[in-house]
Amino acid sequence: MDRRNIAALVYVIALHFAGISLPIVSPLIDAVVPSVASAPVKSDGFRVLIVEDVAARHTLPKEQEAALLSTEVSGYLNAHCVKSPSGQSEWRRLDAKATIADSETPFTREAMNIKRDSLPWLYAANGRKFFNGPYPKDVDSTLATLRKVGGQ
Amino acid sequence: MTDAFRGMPVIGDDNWQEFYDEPTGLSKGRSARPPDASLGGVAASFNIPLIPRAEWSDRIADLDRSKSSLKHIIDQIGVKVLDQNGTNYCWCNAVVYAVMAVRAVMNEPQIRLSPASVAAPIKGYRNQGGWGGEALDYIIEHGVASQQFWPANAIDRQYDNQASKADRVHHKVTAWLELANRSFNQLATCLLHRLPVPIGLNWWGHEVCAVQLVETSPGVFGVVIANSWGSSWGNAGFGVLTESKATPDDAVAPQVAIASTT
Repeated sequence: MDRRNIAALVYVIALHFAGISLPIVSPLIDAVVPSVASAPVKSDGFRVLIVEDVAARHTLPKEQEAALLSTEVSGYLNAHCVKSPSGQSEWRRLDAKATIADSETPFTREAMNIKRDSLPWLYAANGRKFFNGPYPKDVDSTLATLRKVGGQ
Repeated sequence: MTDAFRGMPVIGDDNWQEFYDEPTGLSKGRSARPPDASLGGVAASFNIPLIPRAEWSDRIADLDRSKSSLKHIIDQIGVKVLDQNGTNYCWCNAVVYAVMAVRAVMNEPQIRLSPASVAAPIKGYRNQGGWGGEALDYIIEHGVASQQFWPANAIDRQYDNQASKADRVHHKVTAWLELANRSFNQLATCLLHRLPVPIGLNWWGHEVCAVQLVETSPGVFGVVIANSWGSSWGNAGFGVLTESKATPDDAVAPQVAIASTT
């Protein structure tokens, strides 16, 4: 838990003793889980799977659609994800209904089976921590989320 | 004098004759789509809400700002244009390039795919024209072989072997759209959602792959195309068609391909 979350926790405790309750506590939970033990798919390095519904791109807010397809984001992923023996950066941006060939990486095949509550979805793991949740809303928040797992 | 946009030639009503023929003097190969033709049994009508023309300028600016257009993705990965090199298979080159672009969006390894592995079997190993829907229909059912197993322009049955058959099934299209004829609005909407669109153009007797909607001057729109005349044409093989020249006589849009590293 970082300093901001500790401050928020102290604030909530103070409100509790003052007799005031807050309905939402999710900001206290850092979406990046600093433990590999509960990671749905293990990774031996920084790997990412983005899952989208290509046919429903038009339903996304423009900012999120841009974040989904931004070359700033893919540039970050190209620079930070582990590479295959052929030099391919090990991240994918796949349709939720895509057929996955046996040649795909075990990470991609397994991560496609992670339960998702919505689309687009982001799963990023580095062997020590992971993010598993809805795709962020814009380029800046996407990069911020990825940096928490993949580093600066 | 040819206009240029970001280093690419702009082909419009006043200069199209300059670009009518392939520089080598060889043919292009597009046939007009038969009036009753559709993707045999696999039609997928256009079902995306049209983006109003009034929004195009802002949308284009947004895509440039966020560097998220399909052309940005293609450039980042370096998906080089194809070269039909004297075959009449432009109609297949355009669709195969679109499949390569879809794979680029998926960040699958860039594999050079072979237009001849699709066009030659369709045409009975004859060097004949066609339209994009024919190529897409075949790719949906059989896939497209990589150039490692079937050279790009080889009209030769010897390549239809077990190795190419085993390879091509990894390169099928599994979701797609069929656009209405003569609809620049549908074309623009697909491009703003980063879908590549092979467009058949009767005025040119040619088929190319549209990859980006652009505003060449305020309120004037066009599309960036990947041609199939090699990288020496235009700017690394890319050019711009004005709206009147880019409005397709027929068009399809592959959306999803099989996720495969080979």
